[in-house]
Amino acid sequence: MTRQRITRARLFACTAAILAVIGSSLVAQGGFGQGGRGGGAPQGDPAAAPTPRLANGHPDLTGSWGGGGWSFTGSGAPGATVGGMFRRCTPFQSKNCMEWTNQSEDWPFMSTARLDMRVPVYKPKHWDKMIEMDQWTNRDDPVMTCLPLGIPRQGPPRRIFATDTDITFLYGAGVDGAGGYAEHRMVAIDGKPHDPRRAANYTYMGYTVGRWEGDTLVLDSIGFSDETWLGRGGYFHSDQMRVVEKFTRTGNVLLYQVTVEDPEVLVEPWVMPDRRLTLAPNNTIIPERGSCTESEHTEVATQYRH
Amino acid sequence: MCERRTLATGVIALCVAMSPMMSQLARGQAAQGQGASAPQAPPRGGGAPAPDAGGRAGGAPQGRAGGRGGGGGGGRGDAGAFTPEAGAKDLKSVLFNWAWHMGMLRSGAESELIKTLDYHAAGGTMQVNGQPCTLTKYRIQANYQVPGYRVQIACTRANKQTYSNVETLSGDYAWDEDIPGAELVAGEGKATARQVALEERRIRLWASPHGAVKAAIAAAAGMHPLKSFGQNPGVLLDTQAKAGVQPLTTLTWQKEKTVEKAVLTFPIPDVPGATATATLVNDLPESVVVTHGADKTEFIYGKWADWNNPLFKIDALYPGTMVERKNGNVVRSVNTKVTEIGQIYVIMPVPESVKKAGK
Repeated sequence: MTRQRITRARLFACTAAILAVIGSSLVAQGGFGQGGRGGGAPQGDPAAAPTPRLANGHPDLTGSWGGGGWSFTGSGAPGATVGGMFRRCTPFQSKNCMEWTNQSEDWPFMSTARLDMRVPVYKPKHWDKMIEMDQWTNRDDPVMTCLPLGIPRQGPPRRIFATDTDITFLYGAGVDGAGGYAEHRMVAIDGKPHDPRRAANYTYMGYTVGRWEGDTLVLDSIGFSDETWLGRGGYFHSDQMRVVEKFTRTGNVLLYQVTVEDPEVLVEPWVMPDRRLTLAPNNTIIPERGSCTESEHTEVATQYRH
Repeated sequence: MCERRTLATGVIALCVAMSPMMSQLARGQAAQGQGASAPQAPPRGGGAPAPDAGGRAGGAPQGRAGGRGGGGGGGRGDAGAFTPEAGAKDLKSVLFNWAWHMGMLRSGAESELIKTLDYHAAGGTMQVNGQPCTLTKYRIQANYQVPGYRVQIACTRANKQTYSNVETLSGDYAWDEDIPGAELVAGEGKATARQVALEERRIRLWASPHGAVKAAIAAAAGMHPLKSFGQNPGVLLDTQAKAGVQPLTTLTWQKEKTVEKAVLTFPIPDVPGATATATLVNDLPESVVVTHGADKTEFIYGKWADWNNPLFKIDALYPGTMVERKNGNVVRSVNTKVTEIGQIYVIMPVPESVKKAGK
C-alpha cells in the first residue's frame, strides 16, 4: 500500500515532466506566439545581433527567453549520461519488478540538481538536517504543498516586459525538474535602497529593488519567507537570505547571474552557475497557474524522493 | 479514493505510452538548449518536480535483449545499451555485471550514477595506536566526485578510555577533525592536517565497495573515476576501445571447487604504485587486496544486501560486513546498520589551515 502511494506521486510527477517537456518543445519550435521585441529572430550567433535599448539608453530586456537549464544549478551535471525514466530490472530484483516502477528508485540518481557538484556550502551544523529534509523530500519539499518555488528556485524569467522605470517578469512552470507554477514579479528600477519597514514583510519572491550598473540590471532581494527551498534535495534557506540577480543582455543573449547570501545557514555566498538565455523567436504564452491540491501530503510513508 | 485510483490509472497509461516520446523530447530539449515556458503541471500533481532533462542523453537503451541472459526479472524486457551474454567472461561484461549487480547503474541509460554514500555501522572494532577499540560510532560519508570522504569514529578501549576522530579526505588533502566540518565556520572545531595519511585514505576510498568498481571501470577506460562517472560501462569501454585506449584493468578467472571467481587488477587512482586485486563471486566482490610498496591491505566484504532504510529500498547493494587487514592484522571490522545511497548532500571543503599546511 505504501509503495502504491508513493508510486502514484511519482506518476503525477511523471505527467508533469511529460507535459513540461512537450510544452517546452513546442515553444522551442515556435509553436506559440508571434515574436519578441528586440533583435529579431535569432540566426547565427545570437550575441552578435544588435542590442535594443530603452529610451533611457539601457538595454531593453523585453522578450521571451529560453534555455539556461531546468535544474536549480543550471544545465545540470556535466558529462553525465542520464537516460529515460524506465530502467530494466537488475538481476537481483524480484520477479515483480517492472521498468516503470524502477523510476521511483532511480529518481534521485537522475536529478541534475543532485548530480551537480556546484552546490551551496551549508554550515556543518545543518548537514544532517539537509539530509533528513532530502530524505523526506516528498513530504517536506514546498513544491509538494503547492507553495510557489520562490526566488531563486523559480529560475530565470521566461518572458520580460521592460520600461524605463520598471520591469515585469513572467515565470513559467516546469522548472527545477518540471516543478513549480507560473508566477509573476514586478520590480521598480529606480535605484532606491530597501525600505526597512517593507523588508519585514516576508514573501516568496522577496522584496526587490533594482538599479542599473552600466548595461547590467541588478536586482537585490530580501524579505524572503523561509518556507521555500533553493532547489530539490533539501536546500533550505533562512528568512535572512539575500539574492542578487544580474541580467546582462548582449544582442539576443541574456546572461543571468545569481548570488545567494544567507549567513544563517551558508558558510559563504553561493554563486549559482551562470545561465545563458537566448531570445525565443516567438512570444511565449505562459498559462496561468492551475489548481493544486496537497495530494497525499499527509500520507507519505516512504522516503522515495524526486 | 475512487477518483484518485482512476486518475492514477490514467496517468500510468499516459506515462507508459509517452515514455519514448518523453526521452526523445528531453534529448531534443537538451540539444536545443531551449527551455522557455513549460505548461502548467496537472491538478493534484502539485507540480511535483520530475527528473531534470539535463546532462547528455546518449547511451539510452536501444533495441531489445532478444532473450539473452542477464536481463533481470520482470518488466517489459527492453535491453539496455549493453547486455552481457549469459556467462560472459570478458572484461567489459564482468565490469558491467559488477556495477549492475550492485545496483549502481541507474536510469534508462544504465549509467553508473552513485555519487554519494552515507553509511552507519551497527558496531565493530578498530585498532587505535595498536590497541583494540570497540566502536560506538562509525559513520562514513563519501562523495566519490570530490573525491573524498569523512569517517566519524568513536570507540572505547578495554580500559574504558574513549577515542574519537573524524578522518577526512578531500581531493589532494587529508586531515582530521574534532567535529565534522571543523573550521569551516570560524571558531567551530579544530582541523589538523594529516597529509601523511593521504595515500592510505585514497586506498580506503578506491578499494571500498563503491570505489573499487568505479576504479576498475575507470582504469579499463583509461581515465580517472571522476571522468568515467555517469557513463554506461559497456558504452564507455566500447568508445574507449574504438579510440585505441588500452585498458589498465586486467581480468583472470580462478576456480575453487565449483565456484568460478573473476579476479581483476587495476591501479588505485592517484596513488602511484598501488595496485588493487578484486575477487568477484557471483558478480560481487568478496575481497579487494591492495599492494602498495611493502604494504598489503585486504578489504573483505560479506553479507551483500540492500541496507538502505526500510522506507527507501532502492535495490542498491552494500556489504553487511567489512573487514580491513593491514599486513595480516585486522585494523578495522564493521557491521552495517544502514546505508543511504540516494545522492544526498555530502561535502568536504578543505579548511584554510589545511590548505596552508600544504599538500
